[in-house]
Amino acid sequence: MESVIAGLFLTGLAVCALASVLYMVGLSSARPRWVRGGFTALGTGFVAWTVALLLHTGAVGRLPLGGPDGGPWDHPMTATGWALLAGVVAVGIRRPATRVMGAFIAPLALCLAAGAVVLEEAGSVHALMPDAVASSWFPVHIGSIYLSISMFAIAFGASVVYLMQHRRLKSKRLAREGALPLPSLEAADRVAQRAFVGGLVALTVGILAGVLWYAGDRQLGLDLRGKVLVTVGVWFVYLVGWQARGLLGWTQRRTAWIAVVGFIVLLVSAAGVRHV
Amino acid sequence: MRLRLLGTSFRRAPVELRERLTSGAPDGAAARIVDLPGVAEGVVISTCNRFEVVLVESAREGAEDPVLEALAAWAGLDIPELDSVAYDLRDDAAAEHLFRVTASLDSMILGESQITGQVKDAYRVATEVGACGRLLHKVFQKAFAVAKRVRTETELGAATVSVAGAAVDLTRRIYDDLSRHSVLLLGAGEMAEVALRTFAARGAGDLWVANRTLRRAAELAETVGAGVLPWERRNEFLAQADIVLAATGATAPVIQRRHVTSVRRARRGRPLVLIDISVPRNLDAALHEEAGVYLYDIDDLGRSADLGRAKREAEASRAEAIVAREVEGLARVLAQVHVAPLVRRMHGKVAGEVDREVARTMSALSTTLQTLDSGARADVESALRRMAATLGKRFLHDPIRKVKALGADGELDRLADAADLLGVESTLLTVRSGGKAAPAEADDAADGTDG
Repeated sequence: MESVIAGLFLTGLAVCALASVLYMVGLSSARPRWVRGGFTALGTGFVAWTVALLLHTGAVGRLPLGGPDGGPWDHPMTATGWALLAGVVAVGIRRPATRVMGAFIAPLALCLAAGAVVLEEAGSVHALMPDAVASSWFPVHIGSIYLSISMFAIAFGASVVYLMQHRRLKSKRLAREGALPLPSLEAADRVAQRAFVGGLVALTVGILAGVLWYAGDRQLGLDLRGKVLVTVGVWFVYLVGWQARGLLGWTQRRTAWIAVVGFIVLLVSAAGVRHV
Repeated sequence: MRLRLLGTSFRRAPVELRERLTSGAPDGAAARIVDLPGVAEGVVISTCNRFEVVLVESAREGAEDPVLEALAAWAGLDIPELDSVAYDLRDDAAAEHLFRVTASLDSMILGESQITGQVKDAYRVATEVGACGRLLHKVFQKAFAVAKRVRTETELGAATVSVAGAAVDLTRRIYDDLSRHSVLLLGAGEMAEVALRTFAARGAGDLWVANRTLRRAAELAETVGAGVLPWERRNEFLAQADIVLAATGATAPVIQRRHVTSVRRARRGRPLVLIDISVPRNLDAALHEEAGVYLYDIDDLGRSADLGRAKREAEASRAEAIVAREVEGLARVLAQVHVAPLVRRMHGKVAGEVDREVARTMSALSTTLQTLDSGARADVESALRRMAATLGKRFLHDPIRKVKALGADGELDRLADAADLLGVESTLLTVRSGGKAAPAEADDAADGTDG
């Protein structure tokens, strides 16, 4: 069984790499055909990872968010990569014009899964904190946090597409032959805003679950002040970004920039707080 | 029998002459056409840009051309006058022209979709009056299939070619669903009317018209069910409008940057699309610098429409290749149409010969047969008939196999030769080149559809 799961995981990894290349060619050559190919490859990678994660979940009897008996596919980073692909596929099927945002999500999902392989950290949480993972709040906390990262990644991708379309419209390059079709500002903003709000809700739930988890077992001996500070800071940035349009009259473009910058800060802080 | 297409279009004839043909043609013109000598089937295509008659015609005797004479009589023209602007195409040239017309490759605006519907209407009318027979059914069905292929396999009709259409397309890059956004039209002139109708036709839901003359604004608004806004309230309305289209005769900007700045907060970050199709421009050019505001003038839209036209022309060569392939395929289709009747005629001819020969033989043997009773005579006649029929079938076996093979290969000419050799009446529709060609280039560059 494990060899099948490993095969599916590696297939997903390879197809995700292919999707990244196809998207890159599509963006640089402005050929819609390559973007379509990229989305198809991305969807194939999603299916491969879905089957792998389902088989693994069935085999070990728990969610693949890290455990003592898992491989790189049993790691929160892989689960996040999978959730990113799920988001792009779900939105892309409903709104084909938004598929181009996979160009920013596919490499990210690839990096997350490849990171899980390279670091070989699967199960490290269990090894370091066997008591901590026993709390019922732990999976809620981890699941919500990674869900929020996935949602913010979707908001990031849609916002980048929004900014590309905005730039094209402002530069009045309307008649450029062979320009890559992009979704309307309205469609890109709608996807970004929904993902933005969804990510904010998931992050809020994740923070609250984390507080309850930590408060329930103070004998863990973990110093999480740095992590909490950074996470709450990111949450506040997103909260301001969400409300600024209504309260301050910020334009869609400015909130798109918040989604882009906020996600980069989130990634940097997520990597950084591991060592805080 | 030959396929023929006789007519004229905007490429050859001025509008005055086309009008005379169109208005002069009687009701049920197709039925009148098939009443003419030598015409078996006919369809009359009459639009504001062309008047064409598609016919299945037998070989004519003499120099008279009853169809040309009829058209000239309907239009009140001399025959030479009509002949000088008409094209007269035969066989594959006629089929190719019909295919090009139906696929909108011969339209004033390349790729416009109206002409396909007009040809379908002409075909329907001809069918209803009984002027369209088996062969024209095949030819027109093929023409519609070609038009469908051109539309689905190329982007001939996809790109926008008008300024108003370009304005809508541009707006859709910002708001994909126009029905949920408000459109304010400034002005009530001709350009404004075209733009308003285009937006209404493309699904814009909340339309408003503002004009210095309120009565004129109300008249225009009524045509599409739009609201009327007093001219003085136009800047105040910017807080709720999503799209503003300016087409007034004003010589100074009617909306300035400060007007938009003052409603920025009330807009809650929603983009504002400003389209200025007036000359001199009605909207302050500095508005494009405002955050969340997208301003486009007539030149921006014109470039977009030019690109659309260039795209259509690029797609036209692909469409022409499809037409050329389908004209080749038509010969095969028509040949197959002819095979079954030809085979029936061959069988009929043999059956006739069998009847005659059996009757003759029975007559020659009448003295001998008188010695037999009636039952035995019937047996003899039956045996003779069976033998003759079997011989006939055996004789026809190879020719029929060959005829079917020729039909499958689309060899209409050889099929006609085979019919001659077998002494069977041939009414084959030949597909050979011929006729006075239709011009490829437009004589005038007027804008409009094949309407």
